[in-house]
Amino acid sequence: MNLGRVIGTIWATRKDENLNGAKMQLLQPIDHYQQPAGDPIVAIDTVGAGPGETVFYITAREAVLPYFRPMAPIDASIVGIVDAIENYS
Amino acid sequence: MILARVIGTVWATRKDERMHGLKMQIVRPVGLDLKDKEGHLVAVDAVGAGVGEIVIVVQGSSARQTAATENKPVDATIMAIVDKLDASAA
Repeated sequence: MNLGRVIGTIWATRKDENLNGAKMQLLQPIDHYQQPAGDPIVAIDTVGAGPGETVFYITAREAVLPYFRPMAPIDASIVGIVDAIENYS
Repeated sequence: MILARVIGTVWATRKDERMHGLKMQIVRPVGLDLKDKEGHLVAVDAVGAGVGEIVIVVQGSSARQTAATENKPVDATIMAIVDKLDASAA
């Protein structure tokens, strides 16, 4: 899993039919100090995260697993909202 | 998934037979401001995107998870056309 911050939303009417009902969010990957790390991505949101929230997400083929359909073209999914991060170093 | 703009089309006659009938587009990644970034990739078009449209591209083995690309040798698929983008929380 990776850490990210929700930075926005995307609307798309024309899309793969298995994505009907999916909520797509713009996600800025961040490091454990919550600093931006890399380019923003588009992720499916299955937990109801809001703008500005810190989340963790999964990528690649397993990103479809939290989705309510078994087959859909999804390579990034938000799977949890982070309450707090504690750094020991 | 990544944001990209359709910048061209690829034609290929000789190809894996499972790819017959698939439309291949050239896409260039874009930033949140929809301005072009570096590089490009060839992606199968599963939604009928046109040149210049902002699209969402799914990559890796997830690219095979559409009706058009299931069990085909594909690692990048255009699976949505962006209507609107709100990045105000960036």
